[in-house]
Amino acid sequence: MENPTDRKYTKEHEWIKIDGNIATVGITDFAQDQLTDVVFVELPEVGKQIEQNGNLCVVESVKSVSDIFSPVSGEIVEVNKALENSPALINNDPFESGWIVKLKVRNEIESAQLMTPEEYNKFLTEIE
Amino acid sequence: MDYTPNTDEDRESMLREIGVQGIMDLFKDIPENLIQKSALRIPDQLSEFELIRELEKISIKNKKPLSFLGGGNYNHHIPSTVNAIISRGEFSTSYTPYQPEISQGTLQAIFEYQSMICELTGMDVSNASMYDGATSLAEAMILASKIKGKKQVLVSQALNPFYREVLETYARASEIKIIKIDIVDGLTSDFETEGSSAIIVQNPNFFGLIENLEEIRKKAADILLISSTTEPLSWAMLKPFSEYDVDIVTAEGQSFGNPMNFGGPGLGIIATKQAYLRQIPGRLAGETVDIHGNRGFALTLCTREQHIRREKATSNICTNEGLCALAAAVYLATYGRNLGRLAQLNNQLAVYFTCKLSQIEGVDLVFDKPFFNEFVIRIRKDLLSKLSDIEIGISLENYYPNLEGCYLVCCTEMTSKEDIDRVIDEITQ
Amino acid sequence: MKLLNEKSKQGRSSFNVGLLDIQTNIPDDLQRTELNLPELPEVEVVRHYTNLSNSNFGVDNGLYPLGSCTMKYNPKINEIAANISQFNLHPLSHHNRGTLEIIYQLQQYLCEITGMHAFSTQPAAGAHGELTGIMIMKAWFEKRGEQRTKVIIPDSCHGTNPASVSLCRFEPVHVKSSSSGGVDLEDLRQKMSRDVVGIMITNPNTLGIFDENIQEITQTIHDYGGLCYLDGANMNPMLGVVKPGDFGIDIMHLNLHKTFSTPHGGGGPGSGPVGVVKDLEPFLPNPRISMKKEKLEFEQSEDSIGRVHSFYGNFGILLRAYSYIRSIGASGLRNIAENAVLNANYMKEKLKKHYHLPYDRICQHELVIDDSLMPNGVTTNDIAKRLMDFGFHPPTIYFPLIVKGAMLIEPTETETKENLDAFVDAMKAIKEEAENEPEKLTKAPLNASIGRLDIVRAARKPKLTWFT
Repeated sequence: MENPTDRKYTKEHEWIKIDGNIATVGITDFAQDQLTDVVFVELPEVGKQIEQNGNLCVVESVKSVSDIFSPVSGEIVEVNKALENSPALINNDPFESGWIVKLKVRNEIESAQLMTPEEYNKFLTEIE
Repeated sequence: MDYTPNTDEDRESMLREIGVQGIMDLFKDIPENLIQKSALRIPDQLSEFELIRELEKISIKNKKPLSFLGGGNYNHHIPSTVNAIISRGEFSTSYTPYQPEISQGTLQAIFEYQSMICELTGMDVSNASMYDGATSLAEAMILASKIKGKKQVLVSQALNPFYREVLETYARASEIKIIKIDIVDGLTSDFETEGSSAIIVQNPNFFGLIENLEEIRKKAADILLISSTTEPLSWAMLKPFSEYDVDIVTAEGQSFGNPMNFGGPGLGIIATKQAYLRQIPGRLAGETVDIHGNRGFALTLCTREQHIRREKATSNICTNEGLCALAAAVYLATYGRNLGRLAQLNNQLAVYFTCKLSQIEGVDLVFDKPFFNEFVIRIRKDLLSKLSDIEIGISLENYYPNLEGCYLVCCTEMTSKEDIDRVIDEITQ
Repeated sequence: MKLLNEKSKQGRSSFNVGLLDIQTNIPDDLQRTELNLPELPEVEVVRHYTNLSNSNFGVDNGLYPLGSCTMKYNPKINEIAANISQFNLHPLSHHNRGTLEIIYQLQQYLCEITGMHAFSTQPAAGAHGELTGIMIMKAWFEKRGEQRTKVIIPDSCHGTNPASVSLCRFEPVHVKSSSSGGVDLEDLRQKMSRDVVGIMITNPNTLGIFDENIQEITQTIHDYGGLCYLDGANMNPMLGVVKPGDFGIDIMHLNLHKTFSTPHGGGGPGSGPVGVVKDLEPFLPNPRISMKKEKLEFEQSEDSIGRVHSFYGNFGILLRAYSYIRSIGASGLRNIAENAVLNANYMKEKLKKHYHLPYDRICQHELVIDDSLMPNGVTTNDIAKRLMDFGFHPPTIYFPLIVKGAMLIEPTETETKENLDAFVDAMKAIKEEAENEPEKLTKAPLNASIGRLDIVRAARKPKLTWFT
């Protein structure tokens, strides 16, 4: 699966897509592949304030637990309720219907510092 | 005896294969100064018959007089089916069922055990077992403080004193504060909930009395209600905990098919509501299917556990009391609905005993309240001295100074009417 | 197979109970109205569980080389011993001299075997012993008025170690393993400070390696006033050969259900006695059984961490372990260590011709191989499942975490050379299948009573009772 060009990436394999002051966050195809079948997503509460690199949520596969970190600071305005019953969305469609949360961005500069798709692709080839 | 089957010849050929001269070459990583030069100071080996002779010699130093001891460990009959099943090596010599395809026996048995515990308690989820009644209660205390985010719990003093000691030990380590709730006339008294995560009560309580769970639940509206039971046979007669909206049920399940064994192994029971499913400690067996679509069972939600979540696990428990849970399952399946009648019989015997005792001057029933199969008496010293070859009950004054001269007396189906009559005769003679 | 409730039919229970003609004292509104336990005739109960047992695999069925679990033969005489009716005593009975003698003697034997000064047999399992040990460390520093927060744990540890540490509100700090498989001394020294409570170390470790630097490790901890805890899960290869007390261990637990042959029971009950050096004896759980003027009695200590079990621990397991130690004696204990190590090294030498051995050196009771040489994407999990078809229980897989695709193999001392050879032959055959017929592996087990189970489904839609 290709990494979409309309968003930014982190070294922890999260993606962030900015639309106005709202950022949608998920994990990349590489991340879901490493996790294997996702069985549970512990979603945060709407309204929670979160710092950049703060703990956003926990994603579980059968045999592992991964913390997902927030690429930017902000307030959680929406969570992907569909994941409660269909955590597999993260595996099947990580960049679209498998999104995890939407944040109201507090500091726009933070996202500017994240990796571009090209930089992330290069990063992936380095770690593999 | 010797259970190492390699012959000298085997050993020689194996050492050759490895490419070393002697066995001690295999211990070369151990610094020379640490290697033991002399044999352990432990007696020489015994044959089976010598060992049995030796053990019997020691065992007869124990005496087993007529006994009415309960208080957390009970002398119940164990149906013949139980030992026939749990002594099968396929069950008893297997490990935790991490490989479900060759552990379906253990897994289905756990699944059925979980189901029967839920039937008895009315709760949504039971785990596969904990160590014993006290430690499952301690885990419930820790669980409650995580759920509520408050490091303080209320503990009824009508809880078994040993359990209170175990709670103190765990609370100290986990930095939880325990507030003691007094007893009034044998039952848990009033309490304030502010700042606490939960209240812990025992039902039937340590004195055998049935607590007013409905009242306690009302007072504990904004905190969790945790119950502990040491005599779960009472469950077959009493309303299930779900009817009082209890949040976490814990118990000692020894009564269900496990011998007294000087107090261990027991069977730690813990059951809770669906809402706390992902916080529950220990193992869970769940239903699933195999690649052909056949029903099967596997350990599930393992990410809660220490082997995956490590320092963030819901508990550090690994080995539990699997075979004791199996014994409980066979026990419950053997009795079936007749478990209700067994509970009634236990209660009837205790009622019979109190009726007889209350006619004797110098013996008082201390609490005049509904009980299951245990009750507290106060007995005059001169009468007590007549019972020197009977264990009439657990002396309570060490644990409750105001209950001087009081004993906790227990009846089970192993107590016959004749046993009770014998006590009455000896006192009145 | 059908579930108990699916086999149930109202009125079928045959286990009758006669009642007395006595009114209950329990008001109706406290009584339950329904009890939906399954109803089966006794014969069907026995058949149900007998048939279930047929789809289970225990040590009694065959080789069970589950690493770090020491699945040795569980002598049947232990069960006879445990069922001597005179030992089935109420815990608060005062007529307990025989029982106390067993516990006391066992404590003495465990001290002699480990070089510890005193033992408590209260902890009910290994992890329970760990927790007890960390509680003792906490109480020790509280008593000294020192506030320490960190516990050093090697990265090859059992998962219970960090979990036990965090239950006591300490922070686990991991130290790396060196390229030869022991603790990286440099990393250890860097992480040391006066904030360190101590170390929790497994030795021989979970790679099966006896850390040749063990004395330097414990000395380093002691230099900073810390305490050394040994996870004694791997005691088997040290019996009669080396005593942990001699290499600087202050506290340790033993797993009687591993080293001392008590059966695992499908996950328990076990027993995890904790031993300590003299200075720590007052901190052991209350009560302890000690000898006073040639009389055994319960003893309370003011500095104790308190009680950790409803009564006195798993006496039924202690009795089995006592029987085992008495039946094999001192020479038998040493024999265990020697043969456990011989069997593991023999297997290692034969397996390394076919599988990758990440640490190619002498091992103790267990060895680690991995799946890095497997062709056609065959994984450790596939190998494990296929081993079932050959009549073996698989080894511990994907552990220790520091080896990718690890298989941790512990043959134990009770296996014959022929059994070891048969296992190696199976592993060799599996390697060949991976090359020629990989689908046999990815679909394995092919001959078990059930096919490979969907554990993802079990976790996504948890169904934990027959009600839901």
